[in-house]
Amino acid sequence: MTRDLTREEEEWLTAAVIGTASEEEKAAAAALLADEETRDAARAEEAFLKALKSGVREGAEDFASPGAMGLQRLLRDIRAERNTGGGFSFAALPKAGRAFAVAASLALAVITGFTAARITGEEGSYRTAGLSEAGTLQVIFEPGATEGEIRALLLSHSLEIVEGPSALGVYRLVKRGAEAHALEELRAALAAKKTLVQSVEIE
Amino acid sequence: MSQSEEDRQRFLIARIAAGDEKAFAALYETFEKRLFAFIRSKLNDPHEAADILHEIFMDVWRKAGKFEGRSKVSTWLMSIAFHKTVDRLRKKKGTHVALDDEAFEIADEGPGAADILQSAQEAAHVKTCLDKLPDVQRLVLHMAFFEELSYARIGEVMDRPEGTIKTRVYHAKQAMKKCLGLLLGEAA
Repeated sequence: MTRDLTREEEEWLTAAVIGTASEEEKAAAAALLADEETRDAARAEEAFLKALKSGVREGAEDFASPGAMGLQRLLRDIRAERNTGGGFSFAALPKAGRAFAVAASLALAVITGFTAARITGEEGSYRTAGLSEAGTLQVIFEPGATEGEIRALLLSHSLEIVEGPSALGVYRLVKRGAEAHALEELRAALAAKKTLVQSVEIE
Repeated sequence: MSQSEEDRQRFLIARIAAGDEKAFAALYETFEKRLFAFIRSKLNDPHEAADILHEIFMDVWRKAGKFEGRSKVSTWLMSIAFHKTVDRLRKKKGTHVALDDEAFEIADEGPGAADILQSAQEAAHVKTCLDKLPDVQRLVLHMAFFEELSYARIGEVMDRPEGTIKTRVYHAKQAMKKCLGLLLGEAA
């Protein structure tokens, strides 16, 4: 004897076809497809959902987006806004926004630390800010420096971000286990990267 | 999406907040096509859709510092896109675009499952029926079946409870079945 699906059962199948089903929903959907009582209805519903998904995707992928032209227009408007004084002011950010910026940077520091650890074979190289260090570098990157360039620079010198960017865009960097005299060499090496580093000082 | 990709996107937002145009360009390249497809899923005019996309990214530039990281970057962007698209529809139609209107007529005696499936396999039928859906149902279906967002994340985008989203997807699906069945009848 066969029967129609309940609304909840249809929702399990929908989530399974979309690809967002939990493990329980996946198991429930599989059971519906296997059970003699619900198999026919479940298979028909699944086939409909797959056809619907395919139709939605096919329609959406046909659209030609603005692409590079759209970006040029945006950059032109951003610069115009900046020149007329209507631009963004980091100092005007709410505290929550600044906190997020710091958190995002620290997240990068964690990634960088773990990546460096993999490269060097060390473990637990990342430590929280505030530990005593031989010294800290204060760095401001050029606005045009990309995430990838900054990451590569930090990895090449085994540097980690412990704080930043501040309201003025300042990052505090450390090199774990570095002797104090090595800091001056690091400062000079970073200062030489003029396309990436706007300023660098020993704290 | 991997955690490292989410971290990358969050880092880009932090850099945009500091005025980094290259980070802005990278974020644009990451999301431009997806957001444009989302807007176009409801707006037929590509120029108007491009204007909304422009407004979204101008907002990103101005408000990156206000992003608190409580949701995924993609959810934040989709939420801006959703509300801007609904606002535009509201202005165009001069009417209220209901976010919670569940009123929907479902046929008592609909076409059979085989007929619906046959019709759904015609891409033109699916497009015709999507065009006939209420605005918000269409956007919800796009988020579910194209963006593959969970009900919870669609709820975040629309600022509505997950249960409401489940109901909306269900109703949108029923509406599609009804429409596809009728189209097959017309074509026969």
